[in-house]
Amino acid sequence: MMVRVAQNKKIDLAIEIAGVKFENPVMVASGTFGYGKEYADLVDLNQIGAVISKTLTIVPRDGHPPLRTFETPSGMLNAIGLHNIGVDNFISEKMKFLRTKKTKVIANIAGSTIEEYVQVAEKLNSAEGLHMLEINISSPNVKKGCMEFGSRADLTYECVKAIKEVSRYPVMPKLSPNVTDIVEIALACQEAGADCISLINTLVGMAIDWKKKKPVLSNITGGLSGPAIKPVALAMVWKVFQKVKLPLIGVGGIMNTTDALEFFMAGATAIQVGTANYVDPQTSVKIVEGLKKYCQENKISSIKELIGMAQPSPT
Amino acid sequence: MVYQTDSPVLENLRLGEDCYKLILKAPKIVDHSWAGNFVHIQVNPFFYPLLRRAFSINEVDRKKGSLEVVFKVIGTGTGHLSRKKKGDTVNLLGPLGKTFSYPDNEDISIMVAGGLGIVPVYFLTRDLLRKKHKGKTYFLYGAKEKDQLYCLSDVKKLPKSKVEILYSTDDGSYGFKGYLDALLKQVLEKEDKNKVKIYACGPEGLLAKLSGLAKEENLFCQLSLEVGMPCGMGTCMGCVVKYKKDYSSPVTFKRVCCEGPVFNAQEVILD
Repeated sequence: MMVRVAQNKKIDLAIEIAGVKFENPVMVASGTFGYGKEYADLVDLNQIGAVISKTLTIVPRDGHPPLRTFETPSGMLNAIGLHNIGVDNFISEKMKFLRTKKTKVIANIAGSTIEEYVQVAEKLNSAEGLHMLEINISSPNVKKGCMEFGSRADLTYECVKAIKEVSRYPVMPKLSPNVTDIVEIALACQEAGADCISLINTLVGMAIDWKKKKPVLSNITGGLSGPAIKPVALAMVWKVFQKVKLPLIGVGGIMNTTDALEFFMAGATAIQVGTANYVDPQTSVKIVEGLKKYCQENKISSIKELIGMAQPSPT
Repeated sequence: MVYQTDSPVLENLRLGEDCYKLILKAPKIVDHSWAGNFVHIQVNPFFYPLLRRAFSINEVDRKKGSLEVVFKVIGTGTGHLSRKKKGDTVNLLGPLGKTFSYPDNEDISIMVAGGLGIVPVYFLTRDLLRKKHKGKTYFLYGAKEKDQLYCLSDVKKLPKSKVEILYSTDDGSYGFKGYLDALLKQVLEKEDKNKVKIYACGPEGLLAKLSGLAKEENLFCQLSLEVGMPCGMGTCMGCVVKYKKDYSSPVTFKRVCCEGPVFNAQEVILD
């Protein structure tokens, strides 16, 4: 019996978003990969499309007191409170290492006011080796800024527009699922000149320590992530794809190649691996390999062919 | 250097009611492991429970390339681990975290092991014996009751000529009747406090008391802390402890996984 061996045809996983060429469409999500170097012993950063930094603010922040995280069925809650080293330290201490890698570097930024977002974006204009900004308008764990802006279309518009005006980099707002209509927020991003959109951030949730009769997290509520939220993220990518022209970067509970495929087919141009990095630091690299294999086996020459494949064809 | 390995289970020993010792083959990790280090274990590959579980290393066999972890079944993750059999594999990350500062030969070392907090200080004691450490060493081992001195047989094997072993139980069923900190105070009265180095791990209440004692008496004391850690690699910022370098410093947060788990008792704030 003849066995037909799959031809070792070159599979093109490269994508381009707003002029930035990514070797592949797999990124590691903000807050789950530190500043990149932490995982360098275990993960070859040259094989990942992009590393997205922990959220950076204008001055370093200490975040919330413990407890900050709690595991839930197929997920976890976190309320870190933007604990980070600040934008200046990121530029002076962390960029040097990241510049040595082939991976693209995306800085995730936040502020308590729109002015603070703008200040962080301005500072990053001098960061050599950076490729894009991701705008955190979606963390549910701080009183000021973030989801406060991302849950209202008018403030989303104002925030994204203000950053676009000062930044030399393409801008990717990260959207919150904790809204009535995510499409409306996505359209506001588009109108404000965003270059692409990542979605979704975590879902607001909580846990109660029934023995101590009080909430587990010091912040009372936290953000739910992990495989538990994948169906929610997928539905939101699906909906936004139908109304918004910008490239979408899907994030939320992606654990493996088949999860990633679902996101591409729903309309994502790229994906981010988040909580899965804690479970298996190799997840992103395994997904890159898995996508190559899938494309090869299904005679797909470019990953771009998959984008929105499951969407109804236009009539 | 941190390694990720699929490690075969060499043995799974039941030490008592719901308490197990797992012996795993992980030569690369073992080569770089010292007392205080921990491994992050994926208990099963099916995402429930989702996150890894952190375990301090109890002992290593550098020739065989194996390491031991000891745990009590407290939930789904440890339940899964307790059912591992010889030949199963588990995925490990390690060695992680900072180690104890090993004592010098002039120092008097006092190991304070509360319950399963015995694990990292047992490793330190065994390592000191291997290094033919000459300083005087005490080993204080306590639990609620005798049945919960799960590692008693290991402790009994420590050479009495090199290590002075003292026991305590809350109910007096074995050794001194009372808490470990009271036993520690008795030992401290006999020794020159300037030469003493205390190494401790155990329940939160015990460590909080030791932290207070170290501050009051200006003692050298290192604590190995235990908290839930999503990543174990310093990225999620989820496992912090309140920290104050000295009297004049502000309170900040330190990550237990990579800035600990071993901290100077005088620098952490344990409520």
